[in-house]
Amino acid sequence: MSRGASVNGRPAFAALLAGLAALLAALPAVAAPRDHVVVAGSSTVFPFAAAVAERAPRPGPLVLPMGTGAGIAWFCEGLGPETPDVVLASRPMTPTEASACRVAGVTPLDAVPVGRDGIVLATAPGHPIVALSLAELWLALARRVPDPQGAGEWVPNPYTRWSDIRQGLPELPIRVLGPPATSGTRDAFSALAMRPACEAALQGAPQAEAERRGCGELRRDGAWVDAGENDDVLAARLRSDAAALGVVGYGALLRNAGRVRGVCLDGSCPSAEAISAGSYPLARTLYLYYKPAHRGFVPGLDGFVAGFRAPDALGPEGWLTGLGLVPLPQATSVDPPPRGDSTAPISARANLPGRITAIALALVLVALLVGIGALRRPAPANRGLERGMGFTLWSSAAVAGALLAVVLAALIVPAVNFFLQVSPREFLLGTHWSPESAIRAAQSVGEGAFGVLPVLLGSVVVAGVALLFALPLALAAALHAHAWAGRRFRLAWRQGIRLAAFIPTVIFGLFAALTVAPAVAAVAGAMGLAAAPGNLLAAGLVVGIMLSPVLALRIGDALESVPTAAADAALGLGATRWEVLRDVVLPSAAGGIGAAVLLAVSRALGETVVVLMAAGLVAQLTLDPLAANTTLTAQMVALMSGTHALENVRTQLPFVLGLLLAALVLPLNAWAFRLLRKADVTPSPVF
Amino acid sequence: MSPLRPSSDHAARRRRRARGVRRLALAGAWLLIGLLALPLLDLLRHAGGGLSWATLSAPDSIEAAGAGLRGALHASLLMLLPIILAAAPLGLAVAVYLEEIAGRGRWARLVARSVRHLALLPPVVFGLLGFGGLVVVLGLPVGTPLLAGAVLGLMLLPRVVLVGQLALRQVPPEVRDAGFAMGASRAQVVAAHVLPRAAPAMLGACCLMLARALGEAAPLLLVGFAAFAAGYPQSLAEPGIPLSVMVFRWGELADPLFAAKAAAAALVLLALVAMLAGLGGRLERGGRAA
Repeated sequence: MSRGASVNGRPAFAALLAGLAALLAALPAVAAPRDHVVVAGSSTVFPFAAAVAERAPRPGPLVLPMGTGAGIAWFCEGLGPETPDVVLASRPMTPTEASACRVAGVTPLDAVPVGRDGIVLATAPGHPIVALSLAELWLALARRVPDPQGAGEWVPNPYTRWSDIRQGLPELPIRVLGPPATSGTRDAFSALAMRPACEAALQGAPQAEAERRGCGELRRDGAWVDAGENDDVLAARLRSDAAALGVVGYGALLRNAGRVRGVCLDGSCPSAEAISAGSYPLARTLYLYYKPAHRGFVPGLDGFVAGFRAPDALGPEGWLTGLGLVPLPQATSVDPPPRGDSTAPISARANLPGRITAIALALVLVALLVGIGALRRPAPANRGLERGMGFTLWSSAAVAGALLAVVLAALIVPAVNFFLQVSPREFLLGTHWSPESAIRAAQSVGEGAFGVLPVLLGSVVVAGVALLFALPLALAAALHAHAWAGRRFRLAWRQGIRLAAFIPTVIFGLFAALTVAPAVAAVAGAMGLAAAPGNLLAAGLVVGIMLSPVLALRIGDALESVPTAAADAALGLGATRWEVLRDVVLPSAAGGIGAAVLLAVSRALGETVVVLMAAGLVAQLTLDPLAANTTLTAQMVALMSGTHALENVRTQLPFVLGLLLAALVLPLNAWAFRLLRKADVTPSPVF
Repeated sequence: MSPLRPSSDHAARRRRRARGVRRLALAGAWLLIGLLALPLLDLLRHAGGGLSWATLSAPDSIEAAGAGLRGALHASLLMLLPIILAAAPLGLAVAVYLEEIAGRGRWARLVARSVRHLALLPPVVFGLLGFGGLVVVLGLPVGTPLLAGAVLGLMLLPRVVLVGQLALRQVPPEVRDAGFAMGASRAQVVAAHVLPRAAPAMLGACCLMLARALGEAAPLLLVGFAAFAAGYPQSLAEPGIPLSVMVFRWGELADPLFAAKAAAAALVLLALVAMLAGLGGRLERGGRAA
């Protein structure tokens, strides 16, 4: 760099001006209200909405799949740019939801039917079950059923194999994968399949009238598996889990044609005609709701809603039909609601705290730029300028501190609220984790469904496998580079390994999902071990590969920090390189290496994407690394519903898990820092 | 090497053992290199059908055949703006304040310690912080590059502070003394003497931070980026899904063509990250040499 340029200040001044201009140009983008359509809700309607969004004019709409329940909750928070304009629903709103909506001022609430969809019981192509009756399905999945030993008593579901229900059915364990409780598909499955069969069974048994309340509830002993909102992921799991059945939307059946097959119910097989006509028993209408009041600031809103009725969308060759949307029968087709309505369009209000933060940030940054520009002119020291600069720097630290304080409070407040409802003891020591069913069952908490131990154990297993795998490799590589490699290798090694430490985690995640997890399952299968298609071993191995560059780098730093004099003296006395390493270098570097390992453990505990892509989402208390299991981080992502209502237990859960993760990681890091301070190594802050 | 000759069985055994360990270490090093190359080779194998000009130039689609990366590329590049314009200068200013202006008392030690701990908090936790703080409290629009940049900027802020402090510490104290001796005030010394010296290292480290931001997906998944954004964003406030999240989303879909496209997207992401990281490393090394 040329000193001349920086002292006379011209080019520097130009750079400052450019920076200022860029900053000012970016400001309106922050202050402007949004003018694109935001769509949230059912993951069943999601593909259709995305297809409509694709064909919408700029600015492109945003479609968030989060489940009907969560979508409606967010939609009904009120009017304004922070709430979605459209909610996709795979069922009509319940009266409770509708009244919440009205209280928040979201009216009128007209459901716009967009088409019909069937819920399909899907299997892998070779599965022996091709047809079932609704009554048999209910007996397989209900929580309480009539006692098969006779008597009118109802008992907790005793059936474990399909052959227990009827003689002709195969002798396979009952395992049905389906969407979690937040999903509208799940609600519809309960209402369309479970409830009618249950009521039919009650018809002949007046003495079991008390059971009517629990009609439609699914069993919770593991025969029903919550397998996530994404139908395509579920279909992919069916291919690898040949004994299971899956509950998916009709669209998923079409999209995965040839890979999964639909089971006929009550003699009617899932097809477009049967679903449209209503002869297929599990058919339902899909809806959307929208806020006419948002037309004021979202110009594309009406166009988006009309997009579902585009002439080329719903014909036999239409693009929505191709994705699996079944057109409504002509008779029931409802016209879109009238354009003109009574509610006055609201204008977008900007959020006050957001605006204050943006202004404070901009002020500090502009003051910094101006101050640096002024200070670099050759001029005698100026007291005012000095003070001003000191104050600006102080306020930049204050702004940064305030930002971090606000967000830390945002982590702690929901967590504290959670522990007001669930006892910490039950949370930390419980061994059963199925928060979704517990929240659903009785809006209250209980049944010990918030026991975090299985999830915690999953995290620990992943970190353990990763470390067992990464540590020997990284140690060997670092020792080689330190003790034996030549100069050129060492230089190339350091640069290469630094670069490798930047490989994004999604890349390892994709590698794990596409290659490692199937390979591990195949190898385990060949060895006669049962392995889930997504398993912790695969996740751990890949996390291990991911950690090894940083680990090797940190171990290398620790080895470098050992003074060379002692090593040279030992070499001079005739020790071999290995003896020097073993007796001189490694003992002095032990602290630094220990710190490297601790930091690697804390990173493995916090690893998210690889685990999410390679291990399942099933929580079970097991140490078996071949089982599908889940971790703290994966549950955080899975439970994050996207509604802003932080008073809901479900929305608080990810924050509690985050707090727990932080509580695990902070002491590890603190220990590592202490070791590093003793060893006098500065950890690289980049990694 | 020792000038002594192996004069006994004992010495021979020692040398054999040293050779054995050396071979083991060499094997470990090459195994590690091979394992790190494996994901890349595997992605290249999978990407086959997905790597085409159409994939690069089309916006995202629900149908695998038409889905492309252009929206994600726009979003990823736009997302870097808030980091470059706000998080990096703010972090560096904090670093200057902590290193050059603030005292060395108990308070400063506390701040330094909390910055270090914040820097090593797992990225997902910043997703929660981003959702609770930036989305709910500050009202940033969901699914836009502005929010992505803000969340990642928040995540990188403590790291930028640490990096800035490191760069400032590398400037020899003589430079400051010389400035003071010429009658410059503290702020003048920092602005005219210390900052220019530390600038290349700071710039390089900031490039490395940008590389990190490009590749990070976990915190974004928590603030609602696992979504579909049509078209491609042309400003910070239009919806756009960054490349890293796109790789994740496509990787989860069942269609094998989507898997191929996810692999292609991963390769593009890798190329961008490697470019930024390489540039950053170069700048950093250049700064150290100066």
